[in-house]
Amino acid sequence: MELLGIAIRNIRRNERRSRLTIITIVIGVAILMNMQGIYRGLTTTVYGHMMAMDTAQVQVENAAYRADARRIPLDKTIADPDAVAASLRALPGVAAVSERVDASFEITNGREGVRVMARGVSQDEARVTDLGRSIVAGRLFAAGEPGLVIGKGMATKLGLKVGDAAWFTALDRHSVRNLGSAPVVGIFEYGFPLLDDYMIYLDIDQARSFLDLGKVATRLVVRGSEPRASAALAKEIGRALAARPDLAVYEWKTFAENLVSTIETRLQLLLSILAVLFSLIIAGIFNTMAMNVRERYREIGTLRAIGIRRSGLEAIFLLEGLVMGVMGCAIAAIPATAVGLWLGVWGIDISGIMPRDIPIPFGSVLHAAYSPVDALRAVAAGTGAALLGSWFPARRAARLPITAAIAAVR
Amino acid sequence: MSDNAGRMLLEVRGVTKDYRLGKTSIHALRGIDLSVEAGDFVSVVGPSGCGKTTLLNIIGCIDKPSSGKIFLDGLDVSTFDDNGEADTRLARIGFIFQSFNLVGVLDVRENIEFPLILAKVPKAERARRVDRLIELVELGEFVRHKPDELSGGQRQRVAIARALVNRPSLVIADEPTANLDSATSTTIMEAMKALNEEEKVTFIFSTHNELIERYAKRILLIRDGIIIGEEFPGEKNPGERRRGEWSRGSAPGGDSGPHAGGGAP
Amino acid sequence: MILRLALLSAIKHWRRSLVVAGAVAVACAVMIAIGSLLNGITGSFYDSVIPNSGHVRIEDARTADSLNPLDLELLLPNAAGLVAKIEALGDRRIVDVEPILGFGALLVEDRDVTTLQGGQDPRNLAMRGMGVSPDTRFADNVRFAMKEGSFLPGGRGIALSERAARLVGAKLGTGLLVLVQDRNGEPWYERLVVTGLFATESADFDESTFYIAEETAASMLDAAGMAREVRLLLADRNDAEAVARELAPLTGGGGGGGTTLRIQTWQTINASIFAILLFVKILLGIIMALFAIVSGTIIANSSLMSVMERIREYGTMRAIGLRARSLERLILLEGLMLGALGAALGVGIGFIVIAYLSRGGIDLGGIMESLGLSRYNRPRGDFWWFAFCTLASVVVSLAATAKAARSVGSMGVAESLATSS
Ligand SMILES: Nc1ncnc2c1ncn2[C@@H]1O[C@H](COP(=O)(O)OP(=O)(O)O)[C@@H](O)[C@H]1O
Ligand SMILES: [Mg+2]
Repeated sequence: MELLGIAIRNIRRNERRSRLTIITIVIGVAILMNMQGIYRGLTTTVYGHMMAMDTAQVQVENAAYRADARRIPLDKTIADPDAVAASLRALPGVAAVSERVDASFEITNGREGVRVMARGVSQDEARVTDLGRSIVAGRLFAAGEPGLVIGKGMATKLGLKVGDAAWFTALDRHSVRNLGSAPVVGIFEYGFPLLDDYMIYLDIDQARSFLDLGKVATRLVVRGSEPRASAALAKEIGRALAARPDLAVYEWKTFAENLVSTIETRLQLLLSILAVLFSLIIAGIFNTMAMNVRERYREIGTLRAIGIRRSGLEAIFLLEGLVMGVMGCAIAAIPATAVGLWLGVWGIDISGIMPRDIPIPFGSVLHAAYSPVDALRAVAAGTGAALLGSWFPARRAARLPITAAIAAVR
Repeated sequence: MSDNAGRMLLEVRGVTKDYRLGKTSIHALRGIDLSVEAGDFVSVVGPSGCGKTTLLNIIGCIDKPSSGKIFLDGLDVSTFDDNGEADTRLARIGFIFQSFNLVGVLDVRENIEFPLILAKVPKAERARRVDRLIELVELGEFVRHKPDELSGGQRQRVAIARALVNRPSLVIADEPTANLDSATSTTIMEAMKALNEEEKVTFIFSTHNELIERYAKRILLIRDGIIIGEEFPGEKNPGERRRGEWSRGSAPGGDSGPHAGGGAP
Repeated sequence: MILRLALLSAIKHWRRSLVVAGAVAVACAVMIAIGSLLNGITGSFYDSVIPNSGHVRIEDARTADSLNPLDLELLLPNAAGLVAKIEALGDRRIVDVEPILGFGALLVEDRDVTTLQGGQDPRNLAMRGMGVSPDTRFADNVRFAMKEGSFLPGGRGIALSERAARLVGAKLGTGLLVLVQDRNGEPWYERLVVTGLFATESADFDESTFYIAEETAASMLDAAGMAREVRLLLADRNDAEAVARELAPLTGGGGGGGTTLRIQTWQTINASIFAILLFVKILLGIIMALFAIVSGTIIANSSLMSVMERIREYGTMRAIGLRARSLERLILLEGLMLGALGAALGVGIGFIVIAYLSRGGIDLGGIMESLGLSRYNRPRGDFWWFAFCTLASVVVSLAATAKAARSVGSMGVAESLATSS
């Protein structure tokens, strides 16, 4: 405890220098504290949206589908979707499984036509994604009911309302163009233009008959009981389907590769930049502490002559670094908390900043998601940097021969 | 290096110096009056803390008096601004310090040359003058040495050469031997004395070593910021009684030379 | 001598000098790397996206709000006339004017191809077709990325990407059915021979776009003389707005019977890319500022220390006659030297980092492709940016030293002599 007192007094003795050193720690710690929250907020929002709107957590496809996915092939399907779905539902981590048939449609209001992604879904779809909750007008079709649920953006642009008839065409399994029509029974809005403008849903059996498919499915979409454990769930399902080489299991990230790769490469960039920043901070602390030691040669000699042990001396200098680190963290907590509150509670409204056609489902307000671990990690990094920077100077002080230290003029 | 000996070089009129230390103020100098003629060799003597350094600093234009005036070569230097003071120091004053204060990264030759460069003396002239001074202080074989490769006495001789190189009217030496052993102190003082006699350099130096003060032609006794007496060691039987006012035994440590009893030069 | 003095002092206290120069170097290198990264993104944007999309574009005003940007209703009825009129202007700033006929189409595997196995249905792929002049200036990303064959030789055939060709089972020299609906809503198809296969840096682009001659497209769509847009290539992209303004009278009704035209410049065409670039710039700017602050603090601290450590030496110099100003200059000189050294080091490190990173490019994620940019970014060094970083580093280290210099310069000589540090 006395050592702590000495350390604090020594820090105050060189106030200006200590202040500058602490500033660097403050900057590093404050950035680290907030960056984690912002990053987590961004990923949970974006990834969460992606899963809730589109991909769910895990999908099962025909093993040959992925290579040809771009052309939305109708000939690479799962032949026995009901059986596979049933076996998946029996797995412990699985909360819901839905069957889908995907196809490329052209939809028209009679005057204008547009190419869209059509998704034939079973009633289970409402349990694997947020489709049910996102319907802003009308309702979801019943099982086997001919009816369309279309996006808000498309409805507006085509001038379609609930109850209006929509015409659509598509190439069936034999590349024959079929024409069909169905009433719009519901309108959904996810707030993500790519889906709101270009996605329609219809009943899976309606889709099958329109496309001249049998009782097949393009994919099975699985939601687990644990939202964060997609990778584990994918692994479990992969094991369960090990006897089915004709099927392939994918984590949701496969379907949002662009999104995930973009966010993850950003993270790597930021991390490497942060690492450089922290090494700068450590160098700064090292510099300060080395200076402290040099300046106090005589004092060190005196302390040693009086009888302080080497370890005690080392502790004084390490403590000095530590106290600066802790002070830096304490000060950093103020701006970090302010920014954190702002971002965490109110969030930034980015709908105005981000162009609509960015294929990233940010949602309209970006919230940072903080966890106590962030603060701990930042504090650990800050004090760690301070200790690391003090380490060598402290050792040097402790190793100094007494006579040399006392005799030192400066 | 003044040639017209006897001319009035320095006049100090009613100089006081107060330091503020928090709420109290310290009267380091309480009214100093002093005249020094060119060619003189003056010693300022007194116990530690009596104001020797303060007085020399003020005379040397590196500190300002709280009141009073200083005339150097007839100029009222107490009215000079910072640059004026710097130029005065460069042109008219040489300094020798207790702890030598050489520039650590420069070698002997460069240290001596440094003031000449500041004074923008042409290169050839610089070389000539530096060579002469190196010869004078007998450092010929050390010109390429750095200060930390020299002994204390050698360092102080470099400092003396540096102080003289600009041909100052006045050389101020604040306890020049305090960091030296007695033998070296003696050689340094001999060197200064020789310079005074042969080159007519005016010296004012401070000391609290009796052995050293005896080298002066004139000794000023200072105590608590005022001049309490004056001695002329050249004269027969100077005022011993005045010396009795402060005990020799209480002369504080710090000077490394042992007190050699009553041994006079 | 003063210079030598500063140099020698820096060498004597080499460890601290190293810290200062190192801090400058790191900050400088980071700035260079980040700036070059940005420069790489914007550079590839300016080099590839803009020349391909044109500097000025004239299209139907309804296109922007249309759900289906390939709607044939939105074709410019008299594009040929418009092009002729613009060419007649003889404007030196305009390098090229071309009608581009974009349309939606379905590529279908040719049934007659002998390699097709019996019983299997033909594969098809919905794509965007581009009807262009065979020697178009607006497909450089494709024309310079041909892997097999060539770009519409003599206006014949179809050029598509290797990826797309694989998806529909086509090869160089094989036939491919291109299905469209013409302007009257009638289905129409043409069998075209694959005359060129390309592979650009963007998988998105590759899987979505093919090229045929404009004539072929016009005849398939029954749209002779029409185009989706008229693109202009300018000698200097900064003229875009001026040119756009001058073209306005030409498009008033005369360009298309009854339809309203809209003239866009590359800035408005790529507004969302600019928005993202701005966002990235702000973010990277903040990072750079932080580095400047942190290393500035370290430099300030170091120079303060080294100055305070030598305060007696400085006092001595001033006692000898050095003016306060000259002393400050001496200290600044040392800061300048260390700053310059650090900047030089930083430039070297930055150079190496850039060279290393641009070998493979930095993966910026798939979103870049969606924006039409390359996913792998190669940082580009720019002389002016290097110069700016060097200057900024030196200025930062000077500014950080200035405080120390002033604190010594304003200290009394006697006081600094008495300081025992
Ligand atoms: N910078 C200062 N601030 C406060 N007091 C000072 C300062 N310099 C000297 N003094 C005081 O002035 C008095 C004279 O000091 P000084 O001239 O250094 O004495 P000497 O050189 O004779 O030992 C002493 O009491 C000393 O404590
Ligand atoms: Mg003194």
